[in-house]
This record gives sequence, C-alpha cells and structure tokens, in this order.
Amino acid sequence: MDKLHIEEEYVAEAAILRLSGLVDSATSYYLESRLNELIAADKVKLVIDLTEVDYISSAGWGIFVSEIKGLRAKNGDIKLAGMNPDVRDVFELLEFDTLLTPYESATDALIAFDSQESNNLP
Amino acid sequence: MPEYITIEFPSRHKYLNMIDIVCGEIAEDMGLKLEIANEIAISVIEACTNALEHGNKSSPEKNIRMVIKRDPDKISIEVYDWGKGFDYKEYLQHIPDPSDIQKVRGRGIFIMKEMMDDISFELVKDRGMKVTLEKNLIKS
Repeated sequence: MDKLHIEEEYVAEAAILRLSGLVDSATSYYLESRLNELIAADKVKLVIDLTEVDYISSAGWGIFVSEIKGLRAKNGDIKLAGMNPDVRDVFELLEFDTLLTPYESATDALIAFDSQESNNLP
Repeated sequence: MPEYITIEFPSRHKYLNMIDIVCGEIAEDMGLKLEIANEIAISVIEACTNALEHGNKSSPEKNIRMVIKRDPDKISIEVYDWGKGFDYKEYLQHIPDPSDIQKVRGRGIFIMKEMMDDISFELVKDRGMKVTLEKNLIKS
C-alpha cells in the first residue's frame, strides 16, 4: 500500500484529502475505505486534491463516481482539484466532466463549497 | 523485421508499476510522442489489471504474459492470462456508459478501446484469454 499516500486537512465542514502517488486497483481499496469512514462520520463535503497524483486507473475513477450519489443525498459532494493533463484526459474521456466540475486547486474547490452554502441560505 | 519483447510476471499488483516503466522505456526508445506513450501505457495497465483480477483471479502462481511487437509503423501488445474468458462479442456490442455512477468497475475496456486504434480478444485453447492492443504510430 505504499503507492498511495493520503494527507487530510479539515476546513470548516469540508475535508481535504491530498493524495500522492497512484490510484489504481491495488490502492483504490484504501482510498475507498477512507472515503467511507469520512462519510460515515458525516464528513460529506470532500475535496480531493490530485496535484501529486500521477495516474488514476479505471478502478480508481470508479471509487470517486460511486460515492457521488450517496454524498449528494446527504447534501455533500466530491470535488476534484489539481488534475494533471494526463489525469484530466482520462477524466474527460470517461465523460466524468458531466458529473463533476474539475477545479484548478483545492482552494477553488473550497470556495465552490462556500458559494453553494451561501446560495442555500434562506 | 518486427522486434518482439516478451515479459512474464506473477499476478501481483506490484508488478503493474514495472509494466508501466517498461512501456515508458519502449516508447522513449521508439521516439513516440508523450501523449501516444501515455495512451499505450494506460491501456496496457488496464489490460494487465483485467488479466490479473478477472483472468487469473489474483492468484500469484498464475503468470501474465505480455508480448510486445515493435513494427516501424505500429506497436501491438498481446496480454495473456489463464482465465476462462468472457463473452467479449456481447460486451463490445454493449459497452456500458462510462459515466454511469452506479458502476464502480467496468471502465477498463472502454478506456482501451478509446486510446488504442484496435483491440481484439481471443480465447486461446488450453491457455486462457488473449487481448491484443494495437496503436498506429506517429513519430515526434
């Protein structure tokens, strides 16, 4: 499990997961397990910072999209930030840009969560 | 004359990283554009992952064989496992929507099909499944 590292930071209600390494079929279980733990603890606003990720396999992408429905049902979401061009190519090839808005940085993703929050105010 | 490179490795995920490096080295040696090299490496890793998980059921005593054929204008990669195969004709006619959020897995063949110029499957008697990936080459 040494090919994927996850660092976590909490900003207000959001959790930022900074990944580094590879998200493939071997490491995606580790990521899936951590995401499920966060969701179970009602951390449903998730920013995934992919700046240090070299490669995401189809199995890795599957983990992200499979969490979308559950997160949105709890008024949360998953926001992907900092994709390198190779990772972004596969993201678009799989048409995930119809499901998820990509962000340049984790900061941009956090701002987007804040904006959504403001729009939901009465 | 084409050149052949054959690699055989146990069904362990840790070897996929080695395959990625091998693909990169071959692509560099052939003078391929980075974009083409990445598409080949991503597709080969997906094919080897399928062979490892679905074909060989992650059994380390079952090897995966990869045969790379270098031609001046084309590279083809054959990936062999020891599995029983699957109904690939039916699958290729009805490739699932990759953006279906209900599905965690099952996007590998879509990726290979989109990134390579040709993909074919064959159930080899007394062996297992063979997947052949082909890419026409554009030199940088």
